[in-house]
Amino acid sequence: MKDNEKQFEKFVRGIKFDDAPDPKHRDKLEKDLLAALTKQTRRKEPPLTIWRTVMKNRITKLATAAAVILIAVLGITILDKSATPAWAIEDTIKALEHIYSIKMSGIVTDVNSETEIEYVLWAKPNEEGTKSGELCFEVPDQQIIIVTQSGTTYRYHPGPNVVYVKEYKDFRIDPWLGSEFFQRVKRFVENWKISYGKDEETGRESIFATCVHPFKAKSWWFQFDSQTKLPVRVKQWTNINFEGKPEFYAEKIEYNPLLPDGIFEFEIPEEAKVVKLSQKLPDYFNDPNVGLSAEGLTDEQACLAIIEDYWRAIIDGDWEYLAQLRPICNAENWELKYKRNENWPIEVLEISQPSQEKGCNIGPVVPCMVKYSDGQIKNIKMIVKIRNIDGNKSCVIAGTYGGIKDFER
Amino acid sequence: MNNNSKAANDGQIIAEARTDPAAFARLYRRHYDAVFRYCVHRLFERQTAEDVTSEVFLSVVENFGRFKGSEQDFRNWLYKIATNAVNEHLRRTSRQNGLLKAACERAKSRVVDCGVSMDEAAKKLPVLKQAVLTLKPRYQTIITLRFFENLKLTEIAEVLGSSPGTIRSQLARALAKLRKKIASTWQEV
Repeated sequence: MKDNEKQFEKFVRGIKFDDAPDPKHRDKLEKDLLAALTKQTRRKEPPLTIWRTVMKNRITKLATAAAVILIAVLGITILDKSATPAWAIEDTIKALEHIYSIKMSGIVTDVNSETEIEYVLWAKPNEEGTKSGELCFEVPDQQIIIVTQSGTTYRYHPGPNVVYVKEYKDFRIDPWLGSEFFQRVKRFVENWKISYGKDEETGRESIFATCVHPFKAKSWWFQFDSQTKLPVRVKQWTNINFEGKPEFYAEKIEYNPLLPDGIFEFEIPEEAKVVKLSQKLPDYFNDPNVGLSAEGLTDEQACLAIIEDYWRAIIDGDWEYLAQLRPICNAENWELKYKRNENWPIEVLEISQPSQEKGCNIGPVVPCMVKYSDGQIKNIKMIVKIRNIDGNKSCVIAGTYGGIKDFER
Repeated sequence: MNNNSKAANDGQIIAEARTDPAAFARLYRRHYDAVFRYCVHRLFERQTAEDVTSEVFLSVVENFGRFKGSEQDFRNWLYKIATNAVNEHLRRTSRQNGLLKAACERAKSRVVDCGVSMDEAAKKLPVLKQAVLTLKPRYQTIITLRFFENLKLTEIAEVLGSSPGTIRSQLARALAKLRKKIASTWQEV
């Protein structure tokens, strides 16, 4: 036993609580319990609240926003700050505010096998403008992937005439090539080099920009149209030297294009074989060694308990506990996140009641209002997964829902 | 609840208690005291502790059908439910602030409830209350289970669904925070 423990033991020694149980209370409670037990055995099934019943039904569908991200090549978690060409980026950010859909074509390269896939896609952003919502991705003569408004993903292989159906989004553009993406670029990416020229095909005046992100070992090349300020071509490499083939190349980007009728609706072709696929959930969803016990709590109470503890752990820097409640990484990496992040939550202003969100089939969503170290207030929706593992009820934080948004009154 | 032989018999009683109310009553009587004590050590108030103890056992009745463990598991399960019930009570009623205020007032007036005699122990109690209740619920739980219920780190880890190593470091943090809060009294020890 360590010194502090010994000293505390000494401190509490002799403190006597009036903790002798009252036989009257014990006896009365016993009667109440036996009455409750008798009543319960008469019922065929234990009562459940409507809310819980609804949730259980939804949970069986099992979907997660954090599953497979196939067009995540644009995804950057950029951490470093440096001088930026504000003139160009600001204009681009503003111009992108009025974009409601895109058509993009180009090449995706598997950097290991150097396999190239030509694609063309149409997409709309989600409501928050953070990721794609409805989407149609075509690889000529190979497959067509469509994500519908309801969130169902259809992957059609014309050759064998097979449709794979998933009741969740497993294909998206994340982050959306919009204002928010370029705000992050402006803030964190470094080594900007700007030049001016003309578009090789149209001859339109263009701005060419390169930049790198040393920590994530990525580099980018952008071409912006001088008049519209919108990016019209993008390349991304998985190194900081622009070496080799870019893993992602958007050769042509059109904004607010005329969308073909029914482009985001999928009809299963005649005689096609339909294969329904269930979602693979992260292993920790069923790991009894992570999360928080919810024994004796309603689902709503459990959600509030784990979310409250989560923010406390974030703010107090209790990395081990944080890794237990939200095990997306271990304690060391949580601490690393904190050290590398200039802006960190410092105060929880409000935790609202859990609710079911359309499109989130993992579990209840808990809206939180959080103040960050830069003084800004953000709205963050946390998803809680309620589990019952070997008869033990517990919960774990599955992630955030809909991204982090600035507080709006 | 620390008694091994008591725990050893729980397995049989648990099986019987699923169908026999008399066996359930025996099981209840064997664990009532420990649950009540744990609640009073967490909440520092008899009346509230009795209310929460009632909630705990009503929850046991409601969920007993899905409890699959054996003797030791049952005790840990009770502590889990009791911990959640206490934390939920604190959260729901903002009891913490009220208790703190009350503790401060009592410390000032030297009026001691809880039946403690007016000796040195009596002087320490309000200080302890005030300090412990400002800790976050998880730390309160660890302190109470470790020093008042005398659970081992491995047992606390089981109750809280964590590893003993994590509990060890959280205990150290909790004690460090407590030490700061009750520095002057602590030094008198």
